[in-house]
Amino acid sequence: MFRQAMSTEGPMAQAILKRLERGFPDYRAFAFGLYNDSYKHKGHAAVQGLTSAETHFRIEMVSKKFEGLKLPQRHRMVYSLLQDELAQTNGIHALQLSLKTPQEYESKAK
Amino acid sequence: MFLSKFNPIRSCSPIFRSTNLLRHQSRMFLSTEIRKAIQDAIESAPVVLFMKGTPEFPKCGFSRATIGLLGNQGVDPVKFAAYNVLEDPELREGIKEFSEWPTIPQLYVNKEFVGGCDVITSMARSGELADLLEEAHALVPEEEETKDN
Repeated sequence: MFRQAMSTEGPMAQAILKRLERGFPDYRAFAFGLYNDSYKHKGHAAVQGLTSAETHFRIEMVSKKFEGLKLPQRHRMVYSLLQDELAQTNGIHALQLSLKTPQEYESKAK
Repeated sequence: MFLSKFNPIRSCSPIFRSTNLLRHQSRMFLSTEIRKAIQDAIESAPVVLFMKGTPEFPKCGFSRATIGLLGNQGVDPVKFAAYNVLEDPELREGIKEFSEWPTIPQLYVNKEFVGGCDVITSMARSGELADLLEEAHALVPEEEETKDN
């Protein structure tokens, strides 16, 4: 609980949320999760020397905007929304995405 | 030191000469030379993976997971080429621009971009990946597959 709350209070997490809010007005309507997994990857080769505690993120999002789009197209939508954050030197190093339409989300929900 | 550029991990034909044109980390303009080298890499096998590290020694959890998935599907090693982007900064940045995809690994099947680790994981689960690889004739023929455990 504590870690979860802490992990998305950083400036990068806040920037991500702001972008998603603008790009996907319904991003919280069904199910949403933003996870900072950076602690799992602390000190691995690629992030050595980086001081940021916000390098690895995971986003689970459901939106009507994904309807009719294949997975790579959905990913590209999110990537382009976050292109500045991904391009920054101390920016996002890894981003895992799970992007579903409301129908897909409901059919998966038990 | 950098004698061979963009070498598939499997074979060792140099297909690319070193250039020092590119210094930017992102939003760079891809030179036609690098674009061509990447295109050649994509066409070097039916299944091409741009990854961090090698299939034997992946240097990133997502690359490792992707290699595992392709292995589980039964991709024929003869039909597979992997490129280690950590060996080449130009490839590492160039492939992102080329594919318009900001992360690595990246999978191509029959010269078509498929996706990264999340997309491949999801496609493996739904069976789409098996269909795609089958259509590409990229799997080990079943009768030749030996399973003696």
